[in-house]
Amino acid sequence: MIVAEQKPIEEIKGYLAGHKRILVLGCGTCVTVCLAGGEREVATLASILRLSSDSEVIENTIERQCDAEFFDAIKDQAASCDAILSMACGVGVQMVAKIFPDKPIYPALNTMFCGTNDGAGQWSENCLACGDCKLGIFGGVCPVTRCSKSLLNGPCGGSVDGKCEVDPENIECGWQLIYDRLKTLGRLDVLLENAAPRDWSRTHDGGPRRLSREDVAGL
Amino acid sequence: MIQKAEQTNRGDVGIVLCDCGGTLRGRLDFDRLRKQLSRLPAVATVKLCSKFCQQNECTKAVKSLFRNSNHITRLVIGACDRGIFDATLHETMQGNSLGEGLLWCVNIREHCAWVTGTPEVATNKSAEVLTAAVRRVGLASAIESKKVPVNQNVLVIGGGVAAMQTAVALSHLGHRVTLVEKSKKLGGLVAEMPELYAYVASCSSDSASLVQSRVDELIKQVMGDKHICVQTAASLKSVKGEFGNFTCVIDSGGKEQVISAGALVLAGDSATTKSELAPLVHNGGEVPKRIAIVIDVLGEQGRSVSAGVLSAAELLTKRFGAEVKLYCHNIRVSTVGLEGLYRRARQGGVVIIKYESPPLISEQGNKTVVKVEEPLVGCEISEEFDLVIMGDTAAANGNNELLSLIEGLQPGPEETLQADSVWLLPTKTNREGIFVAGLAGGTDELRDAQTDGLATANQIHELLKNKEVEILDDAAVVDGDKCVLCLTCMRICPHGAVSIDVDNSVASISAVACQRCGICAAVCPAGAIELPRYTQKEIAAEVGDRPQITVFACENSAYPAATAAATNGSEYDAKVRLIRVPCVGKVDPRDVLQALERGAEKVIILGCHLESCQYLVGSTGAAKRTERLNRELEKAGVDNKRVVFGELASMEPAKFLEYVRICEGVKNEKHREL
Repeated sequence: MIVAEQKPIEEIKGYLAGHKRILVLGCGTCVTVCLAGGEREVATLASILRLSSDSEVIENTIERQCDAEFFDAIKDQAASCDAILSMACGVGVQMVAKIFPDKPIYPALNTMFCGTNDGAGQWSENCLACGDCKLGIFGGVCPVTRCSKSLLNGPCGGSVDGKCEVDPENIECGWQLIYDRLKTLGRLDVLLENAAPRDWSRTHDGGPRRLSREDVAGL
Repeated sequence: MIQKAEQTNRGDVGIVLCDCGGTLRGRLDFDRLRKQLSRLPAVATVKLCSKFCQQNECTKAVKSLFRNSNHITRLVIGACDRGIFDATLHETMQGNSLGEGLLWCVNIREHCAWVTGTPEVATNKSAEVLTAAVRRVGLASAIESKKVPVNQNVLVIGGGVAAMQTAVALSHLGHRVTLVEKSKKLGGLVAEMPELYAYVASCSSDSASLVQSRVDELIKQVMGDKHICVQTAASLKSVKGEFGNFTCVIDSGGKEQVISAGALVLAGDSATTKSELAPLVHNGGEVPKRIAIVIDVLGEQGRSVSAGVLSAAELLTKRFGAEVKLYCHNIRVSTVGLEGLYRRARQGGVVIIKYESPPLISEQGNKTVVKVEEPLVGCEISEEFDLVIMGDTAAANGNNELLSLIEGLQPGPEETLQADSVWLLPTKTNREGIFVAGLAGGTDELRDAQTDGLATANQIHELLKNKEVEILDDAAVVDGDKCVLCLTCMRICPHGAVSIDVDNSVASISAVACQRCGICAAVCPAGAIELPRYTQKEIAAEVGDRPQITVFACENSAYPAATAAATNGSEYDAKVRLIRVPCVGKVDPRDVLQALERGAEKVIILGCHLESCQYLVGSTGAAKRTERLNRELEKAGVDNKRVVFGELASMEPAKFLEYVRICEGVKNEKHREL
C-alpha cells in the first residue's frame, strides 16, 4: 500500500493563500487506510482551514483519485472552487491536475513509500517499486529497499548488532534480515552466488515507466 | 463542513420536568420553561411533576404524558441525576411501547439550577439544555434488545489450585468443563512444593502436609467429576470467537482437538521465584552453606513474594542448616499467617536487611559478593555467599505465549494476564468471557487462588446460566459501504471486539464483546463507525448551532464530578454545556472542530485519569488527539488554547471546576487585552 503523511499545515496554508473557495478532496483508498487523507482527515483539515482563514472551504472524498471516472461525482463542486487541495498521494494529485486543467491543484500530503502497516498508526517501507523483483533469491527480504545502500552482495561494514549505520536506532540491517531468514530456511548457499548488478533502467532511471496489458488494453 | 443541527418537526417528543419536591421552584421558572419548550415544533407535551424519583409520581407523570398525546414516541426528562430515578423510570417504562434509546435525560438540578447564579440565567440554561436534548432525541433510533445463544461449557487452562477450584465450582453449578494442563499431572506449584504455601494453612509443624492434602483432595474431586474432562500434557493452540461462543484448539499429545466453550479461564501456573527455590528444598542433596536472597530490585514486590522467600528462607535454615540473609526493601505481612512466618524465620536465624538502595552483586572467584549500605550503621557492608537468589517475580513466560495466542488480550504489569485497570473485577480480563485466575493474574497465595477460582466460576455461571444472553443491540456499528478495512478499529479496540468479516470484506463488531465505549468510532479514518446514542449527528445536535463552552464529559468521571460540584454548592459559568459521552475516547476531533466552527470559545474534553480509564486506552487516546489537534491549530494560527484536555475522577469536583474555570480565566484575559 502507498503510505503518506500530512504536510505541515503552514506549507498547506502557504499554497492556499489568496484563494477564495477551496475544495479539500480526500481519497478513499490507500491514504484512507494509512490515516492520512480519508474522510476523517478531510473533515479535520477543512475545519482547521476554515477556522484559520476567511476562505470558504468545502470538502469531499472520492473512491480513488488515481482513476478518472471517480471524479464525475465532484465536477460541480470543483467548478465552484478556485483551488483544489488534494489529500491523495502524488498520483492522485497529478490526476486531479489532469482532470481539472484550469484549476490550481495543491498537495496536502507527502507521499512516503510503499509499505506495511506494522500496527495501529505505524508503517514501514518495504518496496521501492524497482520493476525487477529479486525477493525470490533473498529469502523474501528485499535488499534494494531494506538495505539503505541497496547492496546485492552482502552487508557493508556498517551493520552492527543487526542495525544499520544510517540510523542504528530505527533501521534494521536488511542484510542481517536476509541472512537470518535464509539460515532459518537452510538456504545460506544461495548467498554464495554472486548477484549481478541490477538493471536500473527498469526502475525510474529509465524514465517514467509505462505498462500495458495487451489482452485488455485497447479493447 | 458545518452540518446544521437537524430539527425534527414530528411533534413526537414528550417532556417531563421535575421540580424536586418544589425545591427548584425558587431557582427555575418552570412555567416559562414549559411555555418555551411547548413552542418547539418537535414537542408534543410538557408535563411537570414534583418527585420523579418516587414510583407513583414517576408513573403518574409518564402515564399522563402518553394519555395526553398518543403520538409521543420520544421522551426527554429534565430532573436530577439519572442514577437517582433510573430504577423507578425503568419500572415505569416496563410494558410501555416507547423504544429503548428514544429517551434522553437532562440534569436540570445539578447541571443548571444549582450551579447558575440567578433564576433567570438558570432558567435560560435549562431551556437551552432541554432544547438540545429535544434535538438530540429527535435523531435517535430505537434500540432493540436481542438474545444471543451461549455455550454453557467452559474451558479452563491450567491444572493448579486456581484452575481446579474453578473447574470444581463450575461443575457444581452445572457446567461441563474441559481442563487443560501442560504438564503430565495436576496440582501445579502447590503440589510441587507445599512447604512454600504452608504459612497460610497453620503454624503447626505439619502445615505442609495440610496443604498437600488440600491439593490432593482437589485433584481427587477433579478426577472423580464426570463433568470435568481433564487433559494433561496438553496445551492451547488457538482461540477464535467471542464470549458465549469460543472455538479453541487444544494440542494433546500431538493430536489436535477442537473445543467449543462459552467462556475461557486462564489459570495456568508459570515459572516464578518459587520454582528456583524448589529444587534446592526438594533435591535432598547439598544445599550451599551461605545463601543470600535479594528482592525488590526491579520494583516493590507484593506480599506473595514476601511469603515465598520467607518460607524458603525458613526452610533452608531449619531443615538444611544454611545461613540465610534476606535483602529487601520491604516485607509485606498483610495476611493471616505471614506475621507468624516472619517471626519464626527471624527466630530461626534468618537475617533480614532492609536496604534503601538495591545491593550490588558481583562474582569473586566461586563466591558471590553482595554489597549494600546498611541503613542502621550507615556504612557499606560486603558479604560473600555461596549462592545468591534473585527473588523478584520474573516475567511469567507462559503468559507471553497466551498473550500472543489470544487476540486483543491486554497484559498487566509483569505480564500478568489482567490489564491494569481499577474497573476490571478481580478475575476479569479486558476481553468479555475470558477470565484469569491464580498466578496467571498475579495471585500467588493458596487461599487467594481458591477465592479466584470460586469468584470466576460464579461470574461465569451468571453469564452463561440461561443458555442465552439478552443484550441491547447498541454496539458500535460499521457502515459496510464506507469501511476500507484499514484495521485501525480492530487494532485499537481495547476489548478485542472487532474482527474481519472475510465474506463481506468489512470490519465487524461483536455485539456481545463490544463495551460501547466508542473508541473505534473516533479513530475510523473513513468515518464508517457510529456508536448508537452517540452518533456524530446526535452529538452535533446537542452541541447546537451556538455553543459557547462545550465540555465533553466522560460519564465515569467528569459527568458525575460536575454533579458533585453542584452538590458542594459551587457555581460556574452558565455558558458551560456538558455533552455526556461514554468515554472521552469517543470524542471525535471532527466534533471538537465543529463546535469551534460554530463559535464555541472553548472545547474542554474531560475524562478519567489516563491510567484508570474504564476502557484502558480511551483517555490516553483523547489526550494524544487533543495534543495533535492543538498543535495543528496553533501552527495554523488559531488560538491554540481553545481545546483543553483534562483528567479527573468522579470524586474530584474541584478539578472539574478548575478545568471549567481555566477557560473562564483565558476568556477574561482576552477581554482585558481588548
